[in-house]
Amino acid sequence: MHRYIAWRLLIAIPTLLGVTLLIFSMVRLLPGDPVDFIVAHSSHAVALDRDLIRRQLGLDLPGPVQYFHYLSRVLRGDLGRAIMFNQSVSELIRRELPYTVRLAALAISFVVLLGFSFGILAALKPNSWYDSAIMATAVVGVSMPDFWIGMLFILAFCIKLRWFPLLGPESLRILILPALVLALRSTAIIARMLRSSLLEVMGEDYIRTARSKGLRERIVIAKHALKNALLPVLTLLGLQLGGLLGGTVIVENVFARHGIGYLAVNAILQRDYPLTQGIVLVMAVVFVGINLFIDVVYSYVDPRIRYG
Amino acid sequence: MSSSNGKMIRMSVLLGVMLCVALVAGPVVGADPVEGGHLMIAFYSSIQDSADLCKATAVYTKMIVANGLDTLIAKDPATGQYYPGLARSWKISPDGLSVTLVLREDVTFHDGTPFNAQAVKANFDHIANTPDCAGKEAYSKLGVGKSLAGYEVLDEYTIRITYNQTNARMVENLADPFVGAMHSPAAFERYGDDYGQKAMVGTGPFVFVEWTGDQGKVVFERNEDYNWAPEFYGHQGPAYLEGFTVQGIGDPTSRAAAIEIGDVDMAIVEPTDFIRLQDAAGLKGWLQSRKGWGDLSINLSNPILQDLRVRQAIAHAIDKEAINESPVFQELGEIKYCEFTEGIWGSDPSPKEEFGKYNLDYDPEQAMALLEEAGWKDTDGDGVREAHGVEGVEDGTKLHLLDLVRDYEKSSHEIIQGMLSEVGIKVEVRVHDFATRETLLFEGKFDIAPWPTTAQSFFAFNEEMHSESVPFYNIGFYGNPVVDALLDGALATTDPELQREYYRLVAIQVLKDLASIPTVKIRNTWILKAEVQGVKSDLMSVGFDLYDAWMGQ
Repeated sequence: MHRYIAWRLLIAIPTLLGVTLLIFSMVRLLPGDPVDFIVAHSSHAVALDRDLIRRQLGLDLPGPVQYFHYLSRVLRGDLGRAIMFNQSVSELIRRELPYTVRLAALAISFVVLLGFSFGILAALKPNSWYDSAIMATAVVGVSMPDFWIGMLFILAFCIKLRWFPLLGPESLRILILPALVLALRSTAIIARMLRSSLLEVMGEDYIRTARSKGLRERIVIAKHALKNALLPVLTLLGLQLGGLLGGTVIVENVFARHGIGYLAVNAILQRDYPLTQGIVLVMAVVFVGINLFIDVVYSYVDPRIRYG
Repeated sequence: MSSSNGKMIRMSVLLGVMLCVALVAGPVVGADPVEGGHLMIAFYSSIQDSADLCKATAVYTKMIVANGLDTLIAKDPATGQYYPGLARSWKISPDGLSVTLVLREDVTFHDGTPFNAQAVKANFDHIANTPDCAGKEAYSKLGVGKSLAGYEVLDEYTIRITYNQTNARMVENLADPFVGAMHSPAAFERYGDDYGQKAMVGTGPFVFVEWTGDQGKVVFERNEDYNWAPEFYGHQGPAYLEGFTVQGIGDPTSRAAAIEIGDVDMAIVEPTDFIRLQDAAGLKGWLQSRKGWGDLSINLSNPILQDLRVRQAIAHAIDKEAINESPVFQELGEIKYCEFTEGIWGSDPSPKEEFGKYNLDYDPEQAMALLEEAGWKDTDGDGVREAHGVEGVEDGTKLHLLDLVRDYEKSSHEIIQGMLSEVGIKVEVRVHDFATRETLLFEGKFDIAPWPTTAQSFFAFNEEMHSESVPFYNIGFYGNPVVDALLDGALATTDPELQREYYRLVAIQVLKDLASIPTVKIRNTWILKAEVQGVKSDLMSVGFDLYDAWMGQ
């Protein structure tokens, strides 16, 4: 297992190098550059010296030279300086990441709690009224865009019922609504997946054997069925975690929250090359880490899986 | 029994008197200002780039940060008049090549260090020498590497700034927070590259406390030592408010929700939310006219649009009244008659009185006649005209125009799209983000486009209409030697009346040439809690000046 983890970490290096090259090229392929944004955002009351600003930012250098400078800085642990914010990229990410992590952590808790509960409940009595209700709700949850649900939640729970504040210091209460909105789609997906996975497993011979041994249904589900039904759900959960980080972009905007998602959108719109590159690189590291973690968890859930 | 009746009568009289007093006194409107309260504001963003204004370019940054700063010369946003600020007086040399400022001697920065001529020099040095400031607005306005010849400390409280050529904008620039606002030189030293991010130390009525990003908040507290407000303000001494917080909320629905549920005390909202909330219990509306201009720019490098008759047809086809009455504007816009808004031009005479006669009336019939005359006819009956013998245009080319807008301009431009389609002009309204649109505009890859400025005076007209500004700023590739000469003349004098006359003539010529078409300018729509009083427009009319603001009970 240790050798496998070491191998995975080793192959993460070319993966991340590929990410740096890809994102470096992609942001520069977009029309416009940081200077265009600076000019667009100014008052237009006085002509800015575009060439001087471009020179100052090193954007007058040939692309390969810029990439070499960027890579050598990254290898020294320096992600550069954000153009609009005039601040170190690492510092900005360090400042914003905790907000997103807190939101995503609560959202994933909701996904696990609600997704598993509804999935199991629906699988216990397939085609019952509550199975139909759960699956119908799940379809709605998957289909509704985050920004729309966010606005509906604000209207219902902040404005009409006044159960939750919209603004205020970071607290569990202020996190609940955005985390719920963020979790809704993944909850629906997990519930549907767990239901079908469980239904498939429940038809297996070993479940019949377990029942015939006189085991209580709760034990049959928890100890025998669920453990085997979990494997595909775990893969999906890993993917959903990545999706949740992406989903923060919309939710952070609608709920006027800080976070890496909001920062990423701004960085792209502002053509802030160092900031976009820094955020994508950090996110890539997070994704590689999540994938590795899920692979390790596999071996614990299913002892038949061995890495060597 | 009689005693009891007497008591009841006395009580009734007392209650009646109290009621009358309450009715006469009315709500807090018009009452004396009271100290205290922390004002929460929901705005498009908090500080967007840096509180160190020489590194910043965003106008919202300047507006917010200005509440913690004082400028060397102060400009009354309401009248446009200049007043002593941190400089007690200023004197422009007869040749217009230098200005000598005599500074106040009683001013200290928020960190307790004294304000003097060396501090002014250190601020100018900071603008000229900080790499992150190079080429940006403060740098350009100070004239570094261009019109600025130098600055010299004459004594502890006197400094002279000299220019290579007559600088008509020098007073305006020294009243602009980008150049004229003074920061503590000690703080520049102390915070280094982090100045503007972790700290901002000025002399103004509010002290910077913290900033947590543009979607986050920026917090200011009252400067208890403040006693040098320019005379056009309503009071002297410290501000009434204990402080204020600007919370950046990009989503308009969330901003409206924030004021509706009372999370904030004032919020900038969409016109539809303004209509809905302005009469709600405990709330009130504030309609803020924006000073800058920006009409429908026309790309004169396009052979189709080089024909004045086609531009006249576009102008005749646009019904400004109908645009303002549309659900997008809800009659909250300002109908334009020239490039200048009333905030720039003044109200005596109004822009309508002065320039209205040079505007073309809404007349679709005339528009269609002009297009026919110019060779644009719809012979295939598809509702879009095509070229027939138009010079420089291949026969059969459809009259198809590309309108580049940002997302918030889309709805209003779809109305224009509908109006132009009535006369046989097909308009494609294409939405782009800021940077993409700017690039396409500068490359001339558009036909019509909104092109706004947040200028606070006539001078930005030089950037927008002078042929030397093509393609940057003069995106329409407009060039008229008469206009160039008038614009040069305006910058060659320091006489405000003469400048105004030059710009009046420029505006008339631009209207005759139809280099851009005046349409409707949106006003800022604010919702405030009823107890919030005394909030004024800032210098650029994009936001708020809070020195005189207070909160009633």
